[in-house]
Amino acid sequence: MRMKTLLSTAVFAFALSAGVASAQDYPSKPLNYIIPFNAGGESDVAARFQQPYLEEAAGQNVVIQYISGAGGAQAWSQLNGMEADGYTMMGSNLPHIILQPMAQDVGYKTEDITNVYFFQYTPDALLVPADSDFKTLEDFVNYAKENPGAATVAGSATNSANHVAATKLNELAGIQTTYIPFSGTSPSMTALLGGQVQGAFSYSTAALNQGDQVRVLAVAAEERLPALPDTPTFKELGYDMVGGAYRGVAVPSGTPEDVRTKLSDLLGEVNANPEFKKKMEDAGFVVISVPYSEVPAFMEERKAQYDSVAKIMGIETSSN
Amino acid sequence: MDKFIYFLEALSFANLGLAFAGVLAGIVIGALPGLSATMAVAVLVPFTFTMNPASGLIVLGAIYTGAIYGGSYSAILVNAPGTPSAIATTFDGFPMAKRGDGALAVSIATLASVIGGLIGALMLMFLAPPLATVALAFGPPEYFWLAIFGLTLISALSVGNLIKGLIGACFGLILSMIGVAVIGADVRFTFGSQTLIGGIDIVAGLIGLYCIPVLIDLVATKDPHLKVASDSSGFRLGESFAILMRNKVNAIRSSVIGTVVGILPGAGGSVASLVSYSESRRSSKNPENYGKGEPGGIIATEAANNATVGGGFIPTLVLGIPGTPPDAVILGALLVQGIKIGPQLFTSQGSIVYTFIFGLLIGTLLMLPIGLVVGRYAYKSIVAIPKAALVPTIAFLTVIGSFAIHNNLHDSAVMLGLGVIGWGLNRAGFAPSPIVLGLVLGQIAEQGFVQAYLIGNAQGNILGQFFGRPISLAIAAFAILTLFYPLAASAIGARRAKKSAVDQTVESRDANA
Amino acid sequence: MQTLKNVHDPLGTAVAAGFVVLGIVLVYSSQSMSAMGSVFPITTSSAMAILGLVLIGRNVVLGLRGITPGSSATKEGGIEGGSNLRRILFVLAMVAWIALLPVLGFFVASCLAYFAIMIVSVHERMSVKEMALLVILGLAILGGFTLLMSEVLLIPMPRGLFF
Repeated sequence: MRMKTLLSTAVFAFALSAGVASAQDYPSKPLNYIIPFNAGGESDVAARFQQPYLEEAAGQNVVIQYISGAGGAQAWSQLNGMEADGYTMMGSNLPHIILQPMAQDVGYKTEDITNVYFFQYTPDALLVPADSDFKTLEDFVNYAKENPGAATVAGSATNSANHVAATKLNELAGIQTTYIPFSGTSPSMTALLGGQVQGAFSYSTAALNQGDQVRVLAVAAEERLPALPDTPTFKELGYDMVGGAYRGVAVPSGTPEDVRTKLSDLLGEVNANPEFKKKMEDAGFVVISVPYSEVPAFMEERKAQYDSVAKIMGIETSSN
Repeated sequence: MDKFIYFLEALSFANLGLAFAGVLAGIVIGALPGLSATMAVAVLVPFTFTMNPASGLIVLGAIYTGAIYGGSYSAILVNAPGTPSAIATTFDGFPMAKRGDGALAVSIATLASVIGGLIGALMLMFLAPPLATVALAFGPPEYFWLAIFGLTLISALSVGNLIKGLIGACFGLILSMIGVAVIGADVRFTFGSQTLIGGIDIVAGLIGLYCIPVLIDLVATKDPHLKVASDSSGFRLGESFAILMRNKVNAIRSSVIGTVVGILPGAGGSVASLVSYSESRRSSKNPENYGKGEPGGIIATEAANNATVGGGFIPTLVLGIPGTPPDAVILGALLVQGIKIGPQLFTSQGSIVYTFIFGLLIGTLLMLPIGLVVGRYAYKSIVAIPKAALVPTIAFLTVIGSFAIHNNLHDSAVMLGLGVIGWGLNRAGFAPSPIVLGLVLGQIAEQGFVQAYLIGNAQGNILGQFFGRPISLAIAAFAILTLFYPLAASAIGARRAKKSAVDQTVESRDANA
Repeated sequence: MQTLKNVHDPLGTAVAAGFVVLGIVLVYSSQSMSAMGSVFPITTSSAMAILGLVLIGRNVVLGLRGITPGSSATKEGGIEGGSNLRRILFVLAMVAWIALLPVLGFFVASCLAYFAIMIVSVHERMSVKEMALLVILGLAILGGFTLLMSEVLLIPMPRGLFF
């Protein structure tokens, strides 16, 4: 009798793992959430914020794992080879998945990534040291206008969100600055605090972490951030600049449609939780909700934005 | 004295137990090549959410210290640095183990690690805010010169074979450029391969270049992996203490170098241990023994790399900028716990910060007994295990270790490829260490150089960037000193010998008269 | 052929020649990079090529002077002699190991390669008891590490046909 139950359980488990994924009982086992970056980065921190709420919504454990390398490309190029049963999901970042394949052959194309949800973004922020002469964005723009190329702006890597922001500001304000790429947010923030560079493009989250050692001239959000109530947005100051690093969740391309929708609903549930929203906003994240049905329109809109900047940055769209 | 209250808090029975478990787990993970301190800390983070913040931090700090120290075992016993911080430990550790002094080497590494860890943690406790300004004083030109300083170690490592050493270093530098460049985003030297687009990971390179050649030669002959000393049973603790006392200046200097280099985000334990190894060799009375099993070399690297743990937390806690990758994970954990990080942390969250530092101190002290016992066990099992099981086990560790860096098999393929190339090059007289130095320091040198050039260009003062900054000049001077010291020392030595010969003839002539 | 005989350290010279060629190829392929991205590659590659030429020159001069080559293996290891067949078999087993991991799955591929390497590294005859002990030890190590990685460290393991 016991043997029989054991056997049927085994068969049942096998049937499940063999990929007979149906949305009715999804999710019925732990979810693997793969972060395409190293532990400790912004993508990881955001996922750690989601973890307990997602576990609550799904009624299952959420296991966070890391596959890093080549600015995320190592993981994204493997995504479609993973099990497409809805239990494997991967962090997905903009502008990375748009700009990387545009600039070179990184082993995946933007269309290969099946995004099911975008849940937050960290707006670009222009920072200067607290003792800087630049009190406002106006000061900075005027200085750059009078001394073309002399203003140095640090950021993380080339063709990155920081680089896009610096290029965009140059274009909108009609100024010329020198963008200095660093190997990450930590070295670029160190260079800023040490006065090695005059300003730095980073995210709202980094601006908060540095506290009163830095002055945030402006943030590229739609409206002022609750955590930085005194900092104006670029929009208020007359520069039509809203952007940053957008983070979402993608699944392997073979994942069934109904499972994608279900996962999107679960992530929506997390985003709707006021406690989660509060925690995220305190840390400088902006919570947005782009469910599966709205992803194509959202991607089109962002793509159009990056296309124009990519041209200025000299990324050839047809190179590969 | 409220610091004392935090000390008592950190001393609670539960916290001590946590620190003990953390150090032990850290040592085991750190000893396995490829399984890094970052990974150990990241895995532990979710568990700490269920603890109170101070206990969580204590266990994180303990596992981190343990993992950095654990890297010395595999460096000494199988010539494979368990973490990049232990690269320089292989230089003298493995030769010692080969000649039968493995137990002594492990004991010395343990003592030096404890001293380094204590000095680093004490500097974190008492000197954090002033030292944090050091991190800020280091700009791109300083990083460039620091990397050049590290590279001058090649002249010392390849005595009698300088041209080959320099060629190896160039090869290593080229390896470090493979992949997508941070500056300019060029795809360099990948020859169209997807495997190489992410670049050559330093840890994969280390495991390949150091470990695979040892294995290739190990299968070829019947000889045992290590010689067994006649008295391999003891810790040889008394002897270790005596050696440490002779090297006390070396140990303290290396700990201070380790703390200061650890403060610099982007430099880290590998650079710290290389720089202090180089300094230790330069100031030693018998530099020719370095690289052949000189205990002073182990003391320098192990004191330095454990001091980076405390040093790395200085910018993390004072500036809100993580000094090392594990610090980034710990910072993220604080953030998720809702603790406001950044400059205000020391004042607003003093209890947590000081409990954490005391936890770090306790963890470091616990490392002494745990390390000696585990180290002795590790040494004994490496000696006792038959070759037929040892070779496949180390091979297994190289595969999983290189895979686990990014959870990616590309790194394993790179590891094996470099290992076979490294074996061939070693056969032709091109030693692996200069290649590794190039690989480790290449990115730091290149980014520092190009950033300094870009900044100088924007300010219209390129030369001023490289030669107009006091810290830059000081580091450059040390680099030149290290580079030419072996030559100068031998020249001075020759002149002295000549002089004493002259004196002797004069004396003898006087005697004759 | 005559010159080759006269070269001091022929192996080192041959490798140096390889580095010279590699340096030239890399300098050539660096031409298409951006100004900032090509400074270091061009400098280092040309330095490597030039140093390679210097080494070749030195070896030829020393060879002509009739200086006998010393031991080419360095202090950092490298055992002369031994079975080259075993060396090759070991490397082949390692290549197969990494290639088969995603095909067969982590545990199965590791078992095959582990015991293959074990056979390559056995030099003496063994009793059945000793062999059984080695197999048990091997399985314990493999199983332990697999569990450590997948269950404790939560590493996403390569999954293939098996597990």
